[in-house]
Amino acid sequence: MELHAGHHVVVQLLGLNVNLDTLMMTWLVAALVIIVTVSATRGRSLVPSGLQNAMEMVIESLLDQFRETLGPKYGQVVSVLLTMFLFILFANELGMIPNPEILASPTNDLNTTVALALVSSFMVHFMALKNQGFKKHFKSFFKPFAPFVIINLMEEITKPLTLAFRLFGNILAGEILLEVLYFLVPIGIPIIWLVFSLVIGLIQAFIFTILTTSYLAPSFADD
Amino acid sequence: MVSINGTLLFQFINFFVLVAILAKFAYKPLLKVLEDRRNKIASDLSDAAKAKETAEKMRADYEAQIRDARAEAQAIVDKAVKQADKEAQAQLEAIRDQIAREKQIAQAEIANEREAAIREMRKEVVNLSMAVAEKLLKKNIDSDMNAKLVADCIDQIQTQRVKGN
Repeated sequence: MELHAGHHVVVQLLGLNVNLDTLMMTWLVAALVIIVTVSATRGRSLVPSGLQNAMEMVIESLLDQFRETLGPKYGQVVSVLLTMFLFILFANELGMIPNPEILASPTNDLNTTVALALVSSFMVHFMALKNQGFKKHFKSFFKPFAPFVIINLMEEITKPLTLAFRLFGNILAGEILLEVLYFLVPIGIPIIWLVFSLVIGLIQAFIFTILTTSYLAPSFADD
Repeated sequence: MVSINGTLLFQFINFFVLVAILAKFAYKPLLKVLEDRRNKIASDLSDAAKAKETAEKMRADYEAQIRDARAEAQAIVDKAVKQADKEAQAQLEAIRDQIAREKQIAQAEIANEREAAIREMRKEVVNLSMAVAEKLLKKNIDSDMNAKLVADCIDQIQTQRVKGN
C-alpha cells in the first residue's frame, strides 16, 4: 500500500516552497471556525440556545481556566488562546473524515504545529516584556541562581519544540494508523480508532492551549 | 514527511489573520454577552435580595399592626368589663340602700303599732282597774285594802310596760 497521510504537495509561492494541501486545509479550517463561531455568537441573546449554548459552554469553561491561571488581566491574550483552541480542535477533527487524499489535518504538518508553538512562545515573551518589564524578565533567566541560565534558555527552546512535536506526532500517527487500519480491516476496527482519535483531537487541542496558558502564567503574576 | 519550509511562515500569518477576524466578529460580541449575563445575574440577585428585604419589613409592619389591634381590642374588652362591674356594683348598692330604707320604715311602723297596742292595753287596764275598783268600792273595804289595790294596779301596769318594751 501507499500512505497518503503525511505526504504533501509542494508548490512555489512567492519564491518559497510551500505545502499547498496544508495551506488549503488551513484555510478550510479557518473558514469553518469563522462560520461556526460567528453564527454561534450572532444571536447574542442573553438566554442562549442551541449552537450558541454549546459554544458558550465551551468558551466559558476555557475562560474559567484562563482566569484561574492568569488572573484578572487574562483579557490581554484571550483572543489568541481561544483561537488556538478552536483552530487546533477543528483542524484535528477535520482530518478524521476518512479520505486522506482530500482531507487531512493541517496539524499533521510540522510547519503548522511549529508555527503555532512559535506563536505561543512569542506571546509568552511579549507578555512578559509588557507586564513585567525588560529588566525583570531578563533577570528571571538567572533564577534561582546564575548558572541556571543554561537550563532556562534550553527550556525556552524545548517548550515550543515539545508543543509542536506532541501535537504533530499525535495527529499524524492517528491519521497513519487510521489509514493502515482501513487497509487491513475495512469494517469495524477503524471506527473504534476513529472515535478514539476524535477524543485525542479534543485532548490535544486542550493540552496545547492549557500548556500555553501555564507558560504565560509567570508573565501575568504580580508580585 | 517531516520537513520545515515556507509553509511555516504562511501558517504563522494565517493564524494571526484568523485571530484578528475572530476577535472582531466573534469574541467581542460573545464576551460582551457573557459579561452582560454576568451583570444581569448579579443585578437580579441584588434585586431579589432587596425584594426579600422589603417583604420582610412589610411582614414585620403587619405583625406590629396586628399586635397593636389585639392589644386595643383587649383594652376595649377590659374597659367594658370594668364598666359593667361598676354598674352592677352601683345597682347592688342602690338595692341594698332601698332594702335598708324599707327595713327602717317597717321597724318604725312596728314600733308605732306596738306603741298603739300598749296604749290600747293601758286603756284597757285602766278600764279594768276602774271596774275592779267599782266592784271593790261596792264592797266595804278599809283604807289599807284600798291602798294595796291601787299599788297592785300600778305595779301591774308597770310590769306590762316593761314587758312591752
